[in-house]
Amino acid sequence: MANSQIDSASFRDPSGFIFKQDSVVYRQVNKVYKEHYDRLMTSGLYQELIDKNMMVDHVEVDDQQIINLQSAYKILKPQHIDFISYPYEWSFSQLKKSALLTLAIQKKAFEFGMTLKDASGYNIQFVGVKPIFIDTLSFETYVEGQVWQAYRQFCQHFLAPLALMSYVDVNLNKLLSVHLDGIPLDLASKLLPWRTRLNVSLLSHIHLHAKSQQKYASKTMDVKVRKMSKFGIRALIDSLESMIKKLTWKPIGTEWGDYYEETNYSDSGMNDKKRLVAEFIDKVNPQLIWDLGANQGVFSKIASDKGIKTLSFDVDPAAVEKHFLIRQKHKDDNLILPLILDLTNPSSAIGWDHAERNSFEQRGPAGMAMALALIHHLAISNNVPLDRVASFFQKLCGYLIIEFVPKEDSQVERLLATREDIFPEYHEAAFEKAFQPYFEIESKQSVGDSKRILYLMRNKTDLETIHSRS
Amino acid sequence: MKLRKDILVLAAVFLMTYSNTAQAYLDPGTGSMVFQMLIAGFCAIAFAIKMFWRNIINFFLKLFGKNKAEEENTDGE
Repeated sequence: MANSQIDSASFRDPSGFIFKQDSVVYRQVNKVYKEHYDRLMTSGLYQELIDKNMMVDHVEVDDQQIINLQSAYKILKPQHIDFISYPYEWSFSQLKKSALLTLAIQKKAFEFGMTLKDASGYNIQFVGVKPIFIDTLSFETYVEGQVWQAYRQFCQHFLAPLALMSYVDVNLNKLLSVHLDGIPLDLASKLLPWRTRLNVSLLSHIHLHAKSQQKYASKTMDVKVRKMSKFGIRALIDSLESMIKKLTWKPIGTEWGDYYEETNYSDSGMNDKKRLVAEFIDKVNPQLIWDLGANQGVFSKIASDKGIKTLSFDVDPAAVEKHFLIRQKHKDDNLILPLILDLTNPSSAIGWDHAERNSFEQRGPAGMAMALALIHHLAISNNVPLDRVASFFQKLCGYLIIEFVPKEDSQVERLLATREDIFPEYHEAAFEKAFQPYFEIESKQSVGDSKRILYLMRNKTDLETIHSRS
Repeated sequence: MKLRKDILVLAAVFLMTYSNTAQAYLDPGTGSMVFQMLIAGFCAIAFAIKMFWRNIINFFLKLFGKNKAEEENTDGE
């Protein structure tokens, strides 16, 4: 069928798959899943999950060309998700909230005689700071006596990373990008400190669970012998839920310290920068902004206050956690999504055929990107030549607000204090020359009483072309 | 010793005997399945006790005209 493409990550579950037609996302429900889908829709579970904002809604469409006529039962058009993010890009609280949502949905499903057949972190997406379940085909009719099929997956996708982030190091969520089906429990058990064995829940669900997996690794079990009461599963879910609620991680400082207090901006300089950023955004009025190096999102907020969807990326998990908690506390918008991203090593295309999880670049381009107080970290801390910064940014956005931070700035002086200055080309004129092949400078403004300069640049390549390349 | 026996009997009561469902594309893993069945018995005891206390607390809250204790938060918070 013309212009249709099956999503490259949608192949594991025979219940159906995701496909795109003319840039619109659809989900095919296969006939084999008919009984479960009908139950989801008619039992009241679907409506309950939609009413409680726990799952994406959808409409059944019948005017689509059906991608596989023989196996298709229904074609759904699900609620659009602006940006697909992955668990290895989430902060501690984002992963924790996703875990609790998964369990809350399992409990709801039980109330309606259904159960979750999988519990993957990739079944959750964020709309602003709110997690939402996206896999409509994850439900199956509960048969009295069956085990919870998703137990192992839940422990690998949520429990293990959360325990490791809480007890060992918050950066261990990155293991999720190495192990796409969640962190193996034997690995988690090895990495967790011995004292976690004194915690009955962690001892059970991770350490003993891993031992059991090891013991039965080469053994099989008759499917018919699996027996477990509904109350048993309910209790298991309650145990997991209680444990996850108790797991904590407190962001102490951030990599850049309390950055906003430490910059060499005076109050008036900061206000001037905010005013200029707001002006530049108004000039372009994009639908989507990527704030690169967003820290705790002071400038992202300027964009979202204008009703613009904003993604706030930062390398520092503490900054992203703080930003997420601030947005969640204020409940002020569903427009900002903070995510962890190291621009010097952005998320790659990974999984089967390099195509299950998209790279950072493939999920763009954005109408506008902001790179405020960032260039010196890329050009000096990471030795990236300025023209390469420009060529990378050209792939990401239609317009760019970028701040040039000169060598005389105390932040750059700090970066150069402990190393030889091998950057003779790091100055205003060379910066403009490096960006010139890729961007047109639309506006250039000094920022208040600082030595910094703020630019509004327009990509010389149009967004359609960029999109087709990625 | 008797208590331990009671607990085991109680745990066994919770583990019912029915067959499994179709459509399972995910391998739950033998070790995870065996462990799940084992641990669920203990979780069930803890859960039963928790529910028992919750009911008592709710009874007194009701008696003093207060709202029922929050049982669960649906959006996962």
